[in-house]
Amino acid sequence: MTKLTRTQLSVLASYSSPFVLIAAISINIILASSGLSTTPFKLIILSASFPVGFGIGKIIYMKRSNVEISFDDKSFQVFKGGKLLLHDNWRNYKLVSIHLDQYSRPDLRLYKTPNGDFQELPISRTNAHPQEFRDYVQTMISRRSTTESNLQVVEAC
Amino acid sequence: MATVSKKSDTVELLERGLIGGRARWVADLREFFRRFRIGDTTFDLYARGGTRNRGFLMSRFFAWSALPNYDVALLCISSESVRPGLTSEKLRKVIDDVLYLVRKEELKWAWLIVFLNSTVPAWGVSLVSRYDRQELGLSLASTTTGQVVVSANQIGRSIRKQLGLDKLIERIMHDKVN
Repeated sequence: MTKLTRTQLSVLASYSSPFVLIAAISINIILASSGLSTTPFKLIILSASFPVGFGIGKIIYMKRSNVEISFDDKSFQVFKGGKLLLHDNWRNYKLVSIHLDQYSRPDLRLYKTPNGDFQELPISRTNAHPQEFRDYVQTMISRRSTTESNLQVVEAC
Repeated sequence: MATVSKKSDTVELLERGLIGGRARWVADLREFFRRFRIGDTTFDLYARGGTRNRGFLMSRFFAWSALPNYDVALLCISSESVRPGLTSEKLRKVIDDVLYLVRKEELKWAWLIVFLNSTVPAWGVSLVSRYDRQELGLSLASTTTGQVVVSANQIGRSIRKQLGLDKLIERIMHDKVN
């Protein structure tokens, strides 16, 4: 299965920034209580708060917000924070479109019937190129229609 | 992953521009379909949206308070998608299919852009430049000579001004030369 995913830096930064601050304050308190608050290496020691804060932020981000889309020629799966949100086959859909969300980010919409039920694939939160991926999905969906029409011809014969 | 065929490059460029917000001064196009079938015609691109921009805070409030909320669409077809070739009758059929969509989806208006891989024929210039129905803006654009013809109505003129079709064709011509 091919996987599409991407670290959303803005989301990661929003998770990490409180922990960076807490780590920096904690380091500062430790330095002050150890009588090292005037050491020239204070800034270097304080900078450790960034990897610590981003490390904790990354763990929370991966557990809550990381989006991953796995797919092959038959089916696809959407995971958010490690939880399976959607698992379906391409052949269950008839139409695909690029849909811009309220922030103008391009996602994919899969329609079971034209203007009917649809599922949204959040490709803007992955490293997928919207037009290329839409064309790929369209190929998968149209392959299903071709197979169905071929079967009908065979049955008619 | 599937590759996009060469013949679709012009349509792909147009779509990329629209996704990036090229038409936002006139229409906020939000959804983009490729190879969309209406009646007997398969359009290379069908984009739909509205005249009210979404925006953020001030622009959102302005859009909500001042802009009308009409549903609109853009359809695009290249002459290579019309078999055996684009004729006057075929173009009229394509226009009929677009007008059917306008009625069915209760659209206020629609744009129709036809890309030709030859010079714009005299019948095409005549048909498009005389077209005056208010709900459809028409355009014929040649990707070989760079000629762009638009209908004389308000929606047609906006294809040239707001949609920047001339610039797109210029870019395609420039890419071909280089």
